Amino acid sequence: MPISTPPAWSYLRRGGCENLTFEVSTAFENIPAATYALYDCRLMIDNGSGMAVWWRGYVSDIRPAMGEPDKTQFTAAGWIKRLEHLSVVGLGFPILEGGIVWKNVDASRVARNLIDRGKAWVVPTYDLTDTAPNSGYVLPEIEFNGSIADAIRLLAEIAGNRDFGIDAGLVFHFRPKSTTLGKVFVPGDNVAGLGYSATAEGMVNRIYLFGANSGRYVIEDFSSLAVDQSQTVDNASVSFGKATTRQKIIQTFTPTKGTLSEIEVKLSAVGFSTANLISDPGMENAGVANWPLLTSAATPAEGDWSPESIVIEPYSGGP
Amino acid sequence: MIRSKDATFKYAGTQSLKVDHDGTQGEYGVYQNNTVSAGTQYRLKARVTPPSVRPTSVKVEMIDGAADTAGAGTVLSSVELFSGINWQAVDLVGTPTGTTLGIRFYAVNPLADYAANPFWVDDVSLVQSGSDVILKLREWNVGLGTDDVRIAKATIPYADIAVSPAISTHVLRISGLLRTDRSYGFTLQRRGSLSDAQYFELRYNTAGGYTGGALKYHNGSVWTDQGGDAYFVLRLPTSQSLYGIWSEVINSPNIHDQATAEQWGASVLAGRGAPIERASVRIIDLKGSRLEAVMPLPLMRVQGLTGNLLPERLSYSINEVGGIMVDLELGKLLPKVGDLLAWIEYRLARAEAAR
Repeated sequence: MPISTPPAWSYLRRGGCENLTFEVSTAFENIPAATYALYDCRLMIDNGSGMAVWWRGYVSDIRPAMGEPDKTQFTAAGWIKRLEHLSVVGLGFPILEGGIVWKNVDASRVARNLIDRGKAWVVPTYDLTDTAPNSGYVLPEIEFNGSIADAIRLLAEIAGNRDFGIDAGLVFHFRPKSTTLGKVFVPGDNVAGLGYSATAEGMVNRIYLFGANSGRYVIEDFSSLAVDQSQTVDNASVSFGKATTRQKIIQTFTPTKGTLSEIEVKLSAVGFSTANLISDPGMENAGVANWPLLTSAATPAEGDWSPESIVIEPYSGGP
Repeated sequence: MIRSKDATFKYAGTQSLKVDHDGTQGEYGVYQNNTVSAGTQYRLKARVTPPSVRPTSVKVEMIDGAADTAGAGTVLSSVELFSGINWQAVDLVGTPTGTTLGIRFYAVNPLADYAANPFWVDDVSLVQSGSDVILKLREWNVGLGTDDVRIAKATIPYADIAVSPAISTHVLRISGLLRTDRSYGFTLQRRGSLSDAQYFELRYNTAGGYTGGALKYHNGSVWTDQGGDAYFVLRLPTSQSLYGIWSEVINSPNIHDQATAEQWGASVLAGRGAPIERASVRIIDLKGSRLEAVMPLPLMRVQGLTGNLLPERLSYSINEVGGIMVDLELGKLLPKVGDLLAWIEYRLARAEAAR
């Protein structure tokens, strides 16, 4: 089909390939029905050394464009958009993997696992390359009930503002924001315009978060301003938690601002031990003598294991 | 049973402990017995990778007494971890009645024939967990000298409190508004048994000097002046001081714990506490490959602007002569228009001089 209007397309830092629009000089009724369905739609451009894929996704909308002759307008969406329409709960995680709850798992691993599970529905005949390194933030517990895209977006924020998306090469990525300079543009050469704005729209400095299990959290930034304090010379310690005199203590104060966000105090403990009692805790010793073998109470036998003996632990861990 | 140090698969350091069966035992695992103080709570932490075939789980137990025989002893606390994730975290607490506290890691082999099915253990710690400290914000009744309605509360786990002489800093978050014509106080008390041998300390200043309140202690019946003032700082975010409170209420049933909430919140709030600056740049005649060919999307610079730019969106189109044009929507990290104008003027002046 000959293209009558040049294509326009976009790419999101957090999402990858976004939209592609173009028109063909073929009437709507002459467009093959197969094009209506999910379709691997690619934009190929000659970059000087041959044709290369610049954008990839699926056709999401097709409609007639009146004119002489009749044309048809195509809109395509990047594959990340498909993840908006796939639910985490429909991915078939086994019960023993915790259903839709992950515990003590790196955020990147959860994102990677979601893509692994979801890719069969996303691009049936193409693979998504797993290039996501661990984020370094281990989630104590996370639960997803919505779409895969929502889950990945949240994971990217939790992991520390990760970039994510599916690019023109069908590669899913989940990586820290780049700190590498990749391109320099020169005004007077190819910079044609610059726009600039400053707006209060979108400003947030306090979040009331209603989490799972009736969890309530107040989140504010930590670039804090001290408004009332007594910290010039903390030259002594007063005990509390003793059986005899100082069982608890109080510091009274009168605030000069009503919107205080936090109180900071300095504490220490006396008489407790934090020594690790384990011998060879990091397994760094040469031998294994510090870790004796358990005396087994039973001998193995085929048939000991049966479905009735399985204890289902709903949230024993993530995939 | 077989156990060995594994230098190729470990959680941290240079080795882990690999444990496997030889086909002759039902339970296979390792243990340690530790001498402890009776009646004191201890916390066991470790990293474990469960076996991957039948069985697919490993059990971790704290035993009141010796742990050397599977199934023996009173289990104080336990967890069963299933395969699928490497290096799962173990976090158990238990209070032994005697002076021996055993720990064990084991799997159950149901098969008579031998097939390798190891599990791994690394980074094990068993420490006295002591007593938590409760930090509460209350109204202080000036006339009656009593603490009143509780406004906020935080629990500081013992593990987070430095042991003498080190000192650690802790915070209590306040979500509601306070009144500047009222007095408040933050109280500190411990969980568990009171003890003259094991207790906590708060830093304070003997010279006093703070005029808005005073430091007092409670001896079980009345509050008495200690003299001086505690080390404390009441904080207000700078952006709230400058612009007032801009709050959002967000429902996120995904998030289960304070640490994740704060981790997520810090990311969301970053760069949004002040009026948000945005800019866009139009590049014509883009040569070569697409800008996002390298992942993640690299920083870009417009010559003459301050700083490098990380675009949020790239919008491409093809112009009349077939050249590729791209609009870059830039995020928070912004150029200053003045810098650009100055730089263009500089270039023009150079060109003029060269003419």
